[in-house]
Amino acid sequence: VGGRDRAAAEAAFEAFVAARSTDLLRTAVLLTRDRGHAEDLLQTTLVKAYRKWHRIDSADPYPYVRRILVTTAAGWRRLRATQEIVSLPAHDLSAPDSTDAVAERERVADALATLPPRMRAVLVLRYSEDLSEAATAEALGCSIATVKTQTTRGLARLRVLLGASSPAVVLEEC
Amino acid sequence: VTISDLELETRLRDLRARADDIPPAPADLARTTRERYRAERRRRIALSAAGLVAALVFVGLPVAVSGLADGPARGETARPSRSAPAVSPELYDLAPRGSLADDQEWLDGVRALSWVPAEPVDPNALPPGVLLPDPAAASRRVAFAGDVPSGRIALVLGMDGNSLAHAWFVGDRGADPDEMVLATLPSLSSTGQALTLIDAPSPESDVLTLVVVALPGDTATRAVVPVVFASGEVSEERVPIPMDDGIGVAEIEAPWPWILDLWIDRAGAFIGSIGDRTDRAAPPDMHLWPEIPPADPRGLVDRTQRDMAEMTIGTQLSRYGLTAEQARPTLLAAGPLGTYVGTYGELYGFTFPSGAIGGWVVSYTPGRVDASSQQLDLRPMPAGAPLLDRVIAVQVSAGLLVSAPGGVTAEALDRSGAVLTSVPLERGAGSGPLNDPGAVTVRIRDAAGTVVAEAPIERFGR
Repeated sequence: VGGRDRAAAEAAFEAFVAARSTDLLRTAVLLTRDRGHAEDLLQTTLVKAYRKWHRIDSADPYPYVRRILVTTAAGWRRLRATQEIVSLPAHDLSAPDSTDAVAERERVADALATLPPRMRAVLVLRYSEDLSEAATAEALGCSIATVKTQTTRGLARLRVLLGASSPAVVLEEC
Repeated sequence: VTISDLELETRLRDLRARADDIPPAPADLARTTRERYRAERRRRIALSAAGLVAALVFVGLPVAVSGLADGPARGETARPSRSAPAVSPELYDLAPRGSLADDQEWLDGVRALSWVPAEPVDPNALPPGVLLPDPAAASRRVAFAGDVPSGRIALVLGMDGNSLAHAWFVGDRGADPDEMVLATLPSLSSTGQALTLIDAPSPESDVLTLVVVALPGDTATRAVVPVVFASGEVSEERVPIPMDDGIGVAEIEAPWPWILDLWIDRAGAFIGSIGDRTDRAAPPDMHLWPEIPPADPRGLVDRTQRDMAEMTIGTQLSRYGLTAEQARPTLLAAGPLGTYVGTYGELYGFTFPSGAIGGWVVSYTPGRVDASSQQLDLRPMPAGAPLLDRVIAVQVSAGLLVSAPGGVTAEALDRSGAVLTSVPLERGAGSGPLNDPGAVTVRIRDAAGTVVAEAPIERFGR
C-alpha cells in the first residue's frame, strides 16, 4: 500500500468514524444494554474494521462494520460471566424521566437483555434498526429462515418476560 | 393478558427512542482506535517474535555444523553450493503440492509476492539483531498451494542467506495471486520440521482450518480438548489428521484450545513443527487472554491481584475449550498465606459441563516483580454439590486456603486428629499460614463450636 493510498484510507476512516460512530453506538447500546459496554463494543469493532479497512467496500462501509459490531457482541456474551449480564447497571440517561413511557422502555430493554445474543441481535436489527429480514440475515451471516425463526421465538420469549403466559424455548441458530 | 406481536414490535421500535437519548460517541474515537490497533499489533508481533527466536535456536546449530563439515577434505558428500541451501531442507526440495500445484502461472505469481508486511513492523518488537527474513525471489519455491475450507492458501519457502524461511499467503477461494495477502510474519524454518497454519474464513467463524505441510509418509494427530466426566475422570484423546502426500487439512470446530497440540510422526519418531495462525483465525480479543472477571459471591476481589485472575482464568478456559458462561469461574478464597514471607494465594473453582468441579490455586508475592508466581490445578472433583456448597481446602506455599459453605473456623488436622492450625472463615473463605506437611484434613466449625463439615486437604509438593 503506497503512502498516498494509505493517507486516503486514513482520511476515509476518519470520515467514517465521524459520520457513523454515533449510529453504531446506538446499536451497541441496544445490544449491550449499557453505555460503558457499548463504548467498549464500538471501540473493539472499529479496531477490527480498521485492520481490514483497505479491503472494505469504500462506497458504503457501514453494513460491513455493523456486521462486525453485532457478531462481536454475540461473542462477548460468550466471554462474560452470567452474573455480569444479569446485573448490568441501569442505562445512564442524561435526563432521567419517570414517565410511564420511559419506564416501559426500560422494562423492554431489561427483557431484551436476557435473550441469547443472536436472538437479541435479530430483534434489534429487525425492529429497532428497522432492517428487512434479508438485511438482518446479511448482517448476522445467517439465513432468512433463521431470522424468521429467531424473530418468532424472540417475540414469544419477550411476551413471557413482559407478563404474558405462553412458554417459550430459547434457542440459537445463527 | 396476551401481548400481540404487533404491540411487541412497536415496543421494540420504541427502544430506538431510548437509544437516541444517548450522548454522541467520543470525539477522539478514530485516534483511540488507531492507538489500540497499534498496541495490539505490537503485542502480536512480540508473540510472533518469540516464535522466531525459538526457530533461530533450532536453525543455528545445523548451520554451524555444516560450516565445519563443508569441503571435500572431510570426506563428506559435497553440500549444495551457494545457489542452493547449505542445509538440506527437505520441504524445500519437493515439488509444489495442493490443488494448484500444476498451475504454473499461478505459482509464479504467488512466488513473486512481497514478503514485506503491509504494515511496518516495530523494530522494538523484535529481538535485538533479528530481522524478518526476505529471501530473494529467485530462491523462492511454492511448497503448497490450493483451496481449503477457509479459502485459498499458499506456502512459499525461500533461502534467507543460509537459512530456510517461509511465508504463508491467504486469499478467498479462487483468488488470483495478486489477491493473496501475506497472512503471518515471515519466519525462519528448520530442517526436517513440518509447517502448519491455522486459518478461518473470518474472525467470527466457529470452524478453523488446519493445514499441515510435511513430508510424504508423515502422519499427524492433534489433541482434542480434554473432556471431564461427571466422575471427575479426564479423557484426553487424540484424533488423526487426514494426510495425503504429506499434506494434512482438517476442520476443527469450536471449542478449541488456544494452543493446538500437534503430534507429527516421521518413521516412528516425533518431529517438531512451526505453527502460524492467520489474523482471520485470531480476532484481536483472542491474542491476549480476554479480561474475564471471576464471579465473586463472597466479595473477595479486593484481596486479589486482578491481572492474576484474568491470566489464570484465560489459561483454564482455553485448556478445556470452555467459555466463561459455561464454566462460571468463581473466586472462592483469597488472602495471605505465610506469616513471614508475604505470600498471597487465590483459590478459584469452576464447573465443567458434566457437573464435575475444577479448580486452581495461584500464589504470588505482591509487589515483588522478581518473585515468580505459580498456578496449580486441582484434580477434577466428581459432580454433586454445587461449587459454593463444597468444602475445598488446599495447602500451598506454606499456607492454607479454604472455601466452605458455612462455619466460622477451619481447623487443619494431622492423621492423629491433632489440630495443627486454625484459620478464621469470613463469608465462607479463609486463608492463613500452614507449614506442616502432616496436615491431611480440614474441619469446619460453626460459631457454637459444632463441627459442620470435614474434607481432605489437597496438598501440592507432596
